[in-house]
Amino acid sequence: MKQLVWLPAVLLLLTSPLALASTVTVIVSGLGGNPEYVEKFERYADEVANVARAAAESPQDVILIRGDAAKRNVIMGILENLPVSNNSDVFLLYLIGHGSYDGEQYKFNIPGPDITGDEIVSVLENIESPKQLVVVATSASGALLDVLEKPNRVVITATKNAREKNAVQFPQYMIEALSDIGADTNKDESISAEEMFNYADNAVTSYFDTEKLLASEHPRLQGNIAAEIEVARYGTLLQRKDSISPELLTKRQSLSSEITALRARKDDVDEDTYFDQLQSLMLELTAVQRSIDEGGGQNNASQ
Amino acid sequence: MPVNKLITTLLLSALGIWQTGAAEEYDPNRDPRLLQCDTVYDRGNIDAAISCFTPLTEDSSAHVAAEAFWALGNTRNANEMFRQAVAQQPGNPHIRARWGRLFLSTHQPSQAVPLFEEAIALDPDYLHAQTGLVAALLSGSGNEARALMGQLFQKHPDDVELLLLLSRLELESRNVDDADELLDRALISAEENNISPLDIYALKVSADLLRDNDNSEWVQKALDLSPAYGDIYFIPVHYHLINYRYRESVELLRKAVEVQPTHWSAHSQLGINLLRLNDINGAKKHLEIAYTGDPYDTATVNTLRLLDTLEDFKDIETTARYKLEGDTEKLAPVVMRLHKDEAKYLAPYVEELTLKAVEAFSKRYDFALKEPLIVELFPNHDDFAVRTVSTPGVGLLGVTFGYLLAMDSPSGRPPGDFHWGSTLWHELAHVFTIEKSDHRMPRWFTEGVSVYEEWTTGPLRGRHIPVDVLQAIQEKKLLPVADLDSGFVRPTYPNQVTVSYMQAGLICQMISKVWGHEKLIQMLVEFDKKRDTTQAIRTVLGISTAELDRRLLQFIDEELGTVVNQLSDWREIITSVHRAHQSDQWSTVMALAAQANEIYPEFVGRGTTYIPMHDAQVALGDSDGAVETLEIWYEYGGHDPDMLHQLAHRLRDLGRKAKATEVLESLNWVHPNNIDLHERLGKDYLAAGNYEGALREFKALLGLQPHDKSVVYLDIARAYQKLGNNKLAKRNVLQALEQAPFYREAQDLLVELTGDSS
Repeated sequence: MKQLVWLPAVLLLLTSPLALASTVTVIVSGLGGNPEYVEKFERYADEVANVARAAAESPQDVILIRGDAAKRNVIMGILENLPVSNNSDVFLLYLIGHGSYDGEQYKFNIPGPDITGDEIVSVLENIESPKQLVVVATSASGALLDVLEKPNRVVITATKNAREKNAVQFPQYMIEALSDIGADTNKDESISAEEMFNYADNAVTSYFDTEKLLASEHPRLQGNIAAEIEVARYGTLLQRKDSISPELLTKRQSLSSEITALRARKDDVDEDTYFDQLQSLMLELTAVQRSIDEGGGQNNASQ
Repeated sequence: MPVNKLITTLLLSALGIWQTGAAEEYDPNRDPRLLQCDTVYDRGNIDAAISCFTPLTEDSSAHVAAEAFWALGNTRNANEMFRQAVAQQPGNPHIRARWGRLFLSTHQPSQAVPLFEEAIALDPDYLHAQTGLVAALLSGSGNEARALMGQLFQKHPDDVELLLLLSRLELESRNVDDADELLDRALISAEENNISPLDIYALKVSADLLRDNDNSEWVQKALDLSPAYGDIYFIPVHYHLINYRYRESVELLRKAVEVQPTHWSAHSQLGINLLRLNDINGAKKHLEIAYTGDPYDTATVNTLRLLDTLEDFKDIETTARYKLEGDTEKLAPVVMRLHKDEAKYLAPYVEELTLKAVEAFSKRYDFALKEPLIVELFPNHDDFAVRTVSTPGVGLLGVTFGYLLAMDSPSGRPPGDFHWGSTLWHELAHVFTIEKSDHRMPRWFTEGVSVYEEWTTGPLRGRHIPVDVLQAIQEKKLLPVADLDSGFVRPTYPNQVTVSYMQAGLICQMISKVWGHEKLIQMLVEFDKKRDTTQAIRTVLGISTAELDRRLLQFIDEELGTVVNQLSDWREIITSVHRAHQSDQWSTVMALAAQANEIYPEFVGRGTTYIPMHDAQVALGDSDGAVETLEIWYEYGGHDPDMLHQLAHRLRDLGRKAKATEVLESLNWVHPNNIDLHERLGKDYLAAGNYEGALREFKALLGLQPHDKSVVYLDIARAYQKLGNNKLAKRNVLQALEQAPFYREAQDLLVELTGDSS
């Protein structure tokens, strides 16, 4: 039986605007075509929604549209009325399912008339959020790579172009990335869009290598702010998201920025000096991190 | 000698030699004007020869023009003119035969064959086409060619070209006296028929070289006749090359280009062989000269491309230690030439095995390396193939040119396709046998020793003899040892090269077992003294080769008699096992596999019955039995990577960590480019206190570009900490934090190492 999971959110939308949120996530699962894909796409969409809800300030910030509800007017209606105009907002959109390309136009396959690439581009034009992530985890999604590009937007597609038309493995590994702390390569308890992409991209490559198959998909990421967009959280940051001292978080962020700046200068600094400076910053960061951790929550590093 | 030989003749390989049989002097119907030009060239007057041929390129006869273009080295125009000539005279077998010869001389025997066949269809007894066909077919396996040649020779016992082709076969088999006799007959016939004797002289020189006479009288005779006849040095090179004598080949090729600076094939071969001696700059110089003169020579073009590819390789230097009996420890420089993309993860293993081999083989063969050892591994099999193009033999995985060896890298083939550790071990053994005997050992002996060392001291357990070799043994297809080289150089049935490898290995194993390993060393000494197989066996073992052949059969009967004597039954059982396996008839699989394994327990390669037996045990719930079966398979040298991973996993589940680690370690020599392997093995070694081993694994893991490097750096830091090297431990933990600043465990270790707990 198909769930109309989108309904509460849409009702809320109609009755009272969503509370202004720091991150709004929309997940759309498209037409499966056969029971195997129906089950897969819905499961993937559910998992993305669960991860997003766990970190969201309010459950209403996560909108899941799947099953028979994923119709054109519903999807377009929600995207046209998103409350993401505030400058501090982050907007995440996941399109999961089958895509196609007819030689001129990308189409996201949904029950009833498909949504075209132009329509997706057009409806997203109105979203003013300064940090946007659009993940098109479908076949032929590479067709949207260039057309969706904007300075404040990161675009991730499952394929490199419109010609890669086979059903894609990418969403499966994207989901894995969201729930596997192995994806969090900088171990900050926050998985960025960049980390999610790198994990899934590696896994797709490894899948085709292991199966000795000619790779029929090549995921792509476009945009410069992928490291700044959080897609999942775990550990202390997740468990104590409401109780960590803002000062500690600011200090942590500031040290992190200093480390990033030092790394950028690595080639210009003598090796010993570089590591001495790095050591000093790392010890400071360790002290801050310990204060955060001691305030409650679990150590993240046990693997 | 026609001018075109200056331009187009290529003696690239064992195959290439037959193409020189297409020389124009054997043209039975040559136009008198062309003959006149041939004579001018034969006397060494190249400028006059060119002036003589040039006007003939505009002759009204398309055939004469084709021959003139060919003689001048313009093979494209020659080809076009032959096309016109055939169109003008479609019923003329001679023109088609000549056109075929053009293809033969430009290394395209497959294009030549149909033209010869068309000529023969027009005139079934047309000898020039028949001989051309033999030469073209000799480029392949040669069996059909030999049969045809035998028939022709009976009809035409004095035909010079046939005599030359036959003498080449004899020289390849080192039947020098027989070859000489054929060449003497060819000389008489050439004189009677007014044919240039230059090619005969070149083969006379070859015969002398095979007798270790480096000052053949025939060289001067040829140069007196034609001072620019580079082939007098070039043709004999082939017989050096098939006997691994690269330095001597280079010397001859230098002389060839000295007397004939436009001998592009000699320049090409000089470049290729200098590369084998690790003279990359010298190689480049001559290959570029060859390319300027003959841009269509694929060997030149491919090797120049290989030189470009080598720019992506890194030379990693290391030092081997060895100690001969009664001597002090010595050092030997080793250079590992690895592709930059895989050098980091592969170098530790190449180094470990190479250093072990140098230590072992120096002692086992009482030989101290005199030059740096170069070990090249190619991730692209095509690059490796270009490196080996002039080495006879098929399906090679590695090749040794003396102090330089080249082989496929493990990533050059699908996982598990070959046991690269054994290949490296095999090639390294060649270095010692080739150099100890100053490149004078017969092919069978160096291959035999390498196979024997693979079986007895190499990184893979067991003696691996393929089923088709057992079949050949049963069918009594083994060659007498005195003639065993021919099984490598000119096989007469499809798998004869493999059979010859195994036979040679068994001979060396028998010699070691019956007479003692030191006899193998003594045989190398005999070969160095220019003794042949018969003499070496007589001197060292005190028996005739016939007696050795008899004892080999006895040895094989003792070692492999059980399976060889019931081979067809055993093969049927194996087939039944796999059939039952496919249809899940587990009890049948169990019963038949047990039967098969009892007959030939060593059989662990493709088609082994251990794997179906293991699957049956898993299906029947006997998990302990399944592990035991895999262990037996592994102990006999089973090395399928998936099964080894499975075995290691199961052993770990059973708490047998040390054995699991041993199995994982064995995977390094068959499929090292695997992230999970190095991660698991590194952690195992770390837990077991083998910190050096752990470091090797973690460093290899880093080289494979794992998704999360911070974890690996932390493990490296831990290993260094355990080894008491806090400086490197700190550096590596900082590298971990550089990747992952919030990595709690790395932060903890940094605090521990710096003593800063603030």
